[in-house]
Amino acid sequence: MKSLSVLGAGVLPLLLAVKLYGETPPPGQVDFGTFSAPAGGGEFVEVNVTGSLISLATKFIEKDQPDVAQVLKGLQSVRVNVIGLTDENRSDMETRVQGVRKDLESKGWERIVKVQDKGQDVGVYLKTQNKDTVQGLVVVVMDGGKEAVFVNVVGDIKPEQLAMLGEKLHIDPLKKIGHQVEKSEPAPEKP
Amino acid sequence: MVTTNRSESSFPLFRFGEIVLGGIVVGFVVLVIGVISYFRLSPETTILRESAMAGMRGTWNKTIALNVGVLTTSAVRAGSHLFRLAPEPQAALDAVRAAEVGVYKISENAGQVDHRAILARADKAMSARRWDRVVGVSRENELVAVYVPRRGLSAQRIQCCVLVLQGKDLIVVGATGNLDPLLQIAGKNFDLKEATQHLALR
Repeated sequence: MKSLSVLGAGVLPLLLAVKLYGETPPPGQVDFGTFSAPAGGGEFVEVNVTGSLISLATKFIEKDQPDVAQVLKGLQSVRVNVIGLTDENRSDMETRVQGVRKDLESKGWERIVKVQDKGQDVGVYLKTQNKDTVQGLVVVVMDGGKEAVFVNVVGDIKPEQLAMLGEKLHIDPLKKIGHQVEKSEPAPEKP
Repeated sequence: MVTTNRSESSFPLFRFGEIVLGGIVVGFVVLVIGVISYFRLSPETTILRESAMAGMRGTWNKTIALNVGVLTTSAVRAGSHLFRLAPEPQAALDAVRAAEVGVYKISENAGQVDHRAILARADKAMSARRWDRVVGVSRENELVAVYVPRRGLSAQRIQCCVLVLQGKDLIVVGATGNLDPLLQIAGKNFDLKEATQHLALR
C-alpha cells in the first residue's frame, strides 16, 4: 500500500508535467483573443488553418510544386482575422492592436517591418530561435479607418513568402498583406 | 406416439414461420429507417441549421433536406465501376463517402441579422462535439462558416460542415470523403503534363 502511494506520488506529477508540456503552445503562436463580427454588417473574416489541414494541402501540391510544399511542411498553423471597423468597435480594435504590439515586444519578438503611411499602420514581427530559425510571424495592420488585420503564422516562414502562402491556401487577406509587406521597407535596427 | 410426433414436427415449422415474419418486420423497419435517414441531417449539420434559425425570427420553410450516407455512396461507387467513366468523374465518385445538404428559406424579411450571435451559438455547440470553425466570413447580409473535426482528419477521411446564410436563404452542407482518389488523379495529370513537356522539348 505504501509503495503504491509512493508510486502515485512520483508518477502523478510526472503525468501532470507531461500533460502541461503537451498543452504548451508553440513559441511562435500568439493568442490574439477572440474576435466577433462587428454589428451592422461590417466585414469580418476569420481563417484558422490547423496543422492537419496544412498537411492535407501539402499532399495535394507536393508533386506539382515541391518548393511550395517544402514551405508548407515547416508550418504548424495559420490564423488570419480581418475585422471591419465601425464606430462601435474602432477604439476597442485600436486598443487591442496596441496591446498585441506591446505584448510581442515584451516577449522578444522582433519588429522587422514598420509602415506608417496614409493612415495605414503595418507591423511585421518575427520570433526566431538562435537568430536563424523562424518560429513564428505576426502581422498587425490598422488599415486607415477601414479594418484591423491580425495574422499569425506558426512555423518557419519568411515575410516575403506570405503572399505565396495566401495564394496557395486561398486566403485573400493574407495575399493582400503579403504584397503590402513585399513593397514595404524593413524597420530600422535597434541600436 | 403419433400426437407427440406431430407436435415435434410442427414445432420447427412454427419457428421457421416466426423467423421469416421477424425477418420481414426487421427488414421493413430497416427500410423505413433507411428511407427516413435520407431526409434527416446529421447532428453537426442540424446544429448549424438550428444556430442560424435561432438567430433569425420568422417562419422557415424547408426547400430540401437530403442525406446520402455511406451505404448509398458505396452502392453508387460500386455501380459506377460497371460503366466506363472518365478518370476525373470516377475519382470524384470514389472520393465521396457521404454527403448531405439542407436548403431553407425564411418567409419574412429578417432585416439586420446578428451574425455574431449565430457564430457564437454554432461555435459553442460544435465545440462541444469537438468540431472547430476554420473559416468564418461575415459581410453585410452574408455569412459563411466552415467547421472540421478537431481530430481524425486525414487524406483518407476528411469531414466538413458548411453554413451559408445569404439574405433569406440558409444552406447547410456536410460531407465526408476520401481524398486519395483525387490525389492519384492529380498525380497522374502532373505526370502527363511533365511527359508532354518532355516530349515537346524533344
